[in-house]
Amino acid sequence: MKRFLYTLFIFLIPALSVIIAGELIVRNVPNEYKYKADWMKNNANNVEILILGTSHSFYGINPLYLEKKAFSVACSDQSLHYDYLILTKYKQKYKHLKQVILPISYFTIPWRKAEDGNDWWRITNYQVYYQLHEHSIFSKYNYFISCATPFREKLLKILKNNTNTACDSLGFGWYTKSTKLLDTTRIAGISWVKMHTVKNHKYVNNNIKEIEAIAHFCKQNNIKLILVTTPTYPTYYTQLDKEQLKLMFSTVKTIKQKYPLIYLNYLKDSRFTKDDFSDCNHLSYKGALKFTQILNKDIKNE
Amino acid sequence: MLFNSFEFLLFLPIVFLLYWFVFPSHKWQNLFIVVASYIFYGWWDWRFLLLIAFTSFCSYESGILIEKNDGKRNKQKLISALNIILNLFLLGVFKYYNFFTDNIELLFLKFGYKLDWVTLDVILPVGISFYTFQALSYTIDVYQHKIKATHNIIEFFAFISFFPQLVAGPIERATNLLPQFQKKRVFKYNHAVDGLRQMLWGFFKKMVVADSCAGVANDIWNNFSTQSGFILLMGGLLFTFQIYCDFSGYSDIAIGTARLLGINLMRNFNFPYFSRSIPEFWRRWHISLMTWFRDYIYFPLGGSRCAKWKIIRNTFIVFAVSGLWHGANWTFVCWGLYHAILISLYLIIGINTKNKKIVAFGKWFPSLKELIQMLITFAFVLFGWILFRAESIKHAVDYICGIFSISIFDISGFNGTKPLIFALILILIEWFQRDKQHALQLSHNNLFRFRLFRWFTYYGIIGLIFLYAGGNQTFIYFQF
Repeated sequence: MKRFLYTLFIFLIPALSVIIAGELIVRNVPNEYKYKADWMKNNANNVEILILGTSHSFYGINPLYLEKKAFSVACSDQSLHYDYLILTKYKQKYKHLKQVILPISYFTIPWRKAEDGNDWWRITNYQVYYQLHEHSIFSKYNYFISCATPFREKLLKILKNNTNTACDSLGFGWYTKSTKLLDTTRIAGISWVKMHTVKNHKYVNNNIKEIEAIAHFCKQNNIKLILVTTPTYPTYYTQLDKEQLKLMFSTVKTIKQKYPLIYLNYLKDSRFTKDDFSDCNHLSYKGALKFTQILNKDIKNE
Repeated sequence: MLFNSFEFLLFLPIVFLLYWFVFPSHKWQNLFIVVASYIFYGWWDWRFLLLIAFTSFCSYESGILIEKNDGKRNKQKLISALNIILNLFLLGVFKYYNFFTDNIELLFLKFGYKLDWVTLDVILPVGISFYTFQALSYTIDVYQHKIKATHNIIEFFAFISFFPQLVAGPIERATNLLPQFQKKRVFKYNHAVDGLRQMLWGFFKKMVVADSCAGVANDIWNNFSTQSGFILLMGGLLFTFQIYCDFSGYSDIAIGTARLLGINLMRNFNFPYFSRSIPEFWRRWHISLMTWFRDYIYFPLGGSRCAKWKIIRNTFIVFAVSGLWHGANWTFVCWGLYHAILISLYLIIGINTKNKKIVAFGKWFPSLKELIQMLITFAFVLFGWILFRAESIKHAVDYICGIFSISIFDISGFNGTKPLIFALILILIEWFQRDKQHALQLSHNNLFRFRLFRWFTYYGIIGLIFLYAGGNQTFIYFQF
């Protein structure tokens, strides 16, 4: 037994050293979470409009073109729970916060919690950079090494000397002003709709509570809450499950009856053409610019 | 708790150290195994623990009652039958309730009657098919006097819930595993080291080959109506490697983990894709399940010691049940029947018992005849997996029809080269190690006698796992 443990220990020393070193290095790789957390820590007292949400707002709303001083803390696959935690984390710092924009998409109400998805590894970003200690120190959510694929991608980023934060200075996703259009055909629509359609409603109540918690926070702090359904392409919205869509609208209606908020629905907005999309449910840089200007005007009119 | 998870990485060393250093006697080790196994299993959902505890308790008590009624055969039969019915009832409720109600409803609809049926939203407890069969085998073996009933409940609970094999097998027999919990375990350096090697190979199969294949295969299957015949064929091929590497990888990790604790589990896979016939394939694939069906269904029905038509009938029954065991869907039953048809053909021709030795034993390469036999068998198996993977019969038929179209010659648009390369590496390594218990069982009469070379190989595999581990896919057989 002693021989076994000794040999195993010697064998594992290089591996453990690489793992520990890798974990420490990866934590310092520039990324959008680190950037946004640092920005909020230093500038939350100045922000007037805060954009929460998923990739729909991350790539769909350009803070530069909103009337007031805006910043986006939206990130791909960000759950409502983390939207709420980020919003409330800096509550002591907000001096000028007037509006909070939260996307309500087709999948938002029934969507699974972050821990239960394939992208659970993103939680590590919130634990490490935002210091949102939702999980114990022994939990896998504290360590980037616990999921090999993103860990590897971050290390490769270092090796390629890629120091991009994957967002611009105001937290917007299209930092390269890419105009590349991806597949918007029916096939892509089917895949996205299939991925976004959730038959199991076990997370619905929790998600409604999260939205209400955000609404309650905004109400208490005299902040205008703006719920937005971002534009999508016909190959996406024509295939949506009617029941799930009904759930989205009825939930917004119910919450609107309880809390003061604005709801703006651009799901089937015909002003957006193929050029405005990077895929059937995400806007391109050009589309985001157009959308932000329309959104800005509509918010002022409300 | 998954094997390929951060939690297991912390769990296993703690269990290993406590097992060997803190608990001196095998009785305390057994108790610790039960606790650790329940933590392992309860990690998914603590409610699952109630069911496994109940199943374990019922089977344990049945064993004691059967033994108490020694000499009263009818009473023993009744107790055994009740235990079987109870276990199968629980399995049926959790796994097959909605399947049966949906089909009954469809049947009534055909005659114009609509049933107001209650569909239960039942969670399928992970591993229920595996531990239920394991518990059943114990009771049947006690009834058949193959083993004495244990009067130590901790030992029995450890046998049923032993965490390495709890959720996806191998389905152990009481005659093999229970005696190991009844005596002192001795730590053996060589066994432990080989166990670690087997685990490493299992992780490579699962995380590199299976998960990489899964990523591409899932894309192809989800969009199959728009793919060319060639890509559909590749989708079938990738799934063939995915399911093998996923399942046998899990078994390797389970067996390797058990060896670290001084326990020997049965072999579950014996390089099945080198089979020269379908009967041989079934002697090498999911051995623990097929031997279970052989011993508890096939042999009681008469086995092979009866008229040919009865042998064929028995084969169909076993494979239909085997298909149903895999899941509550007609596709699984069709898959089972498909293999039953193939085996029957071999039976009729009279070549079903051939090919019991290792293919091309002692040689580097197979003969042309053996190669053709292996390719034909592989093709049969691949088409079977299409039935297995499909969501419905129509899906399977459409998929297969899609393969056999003119677009089978259209090779453009295929992006699964990397997983196929991994699969090829795997096949090559397994080919040259086909006479071993697992592909990483190293002989010490070549370069591997040098520690540096061995460690270089281990680090190479760990490096491959780190560089190429695919998306974190769950183990396929967890759904069974």
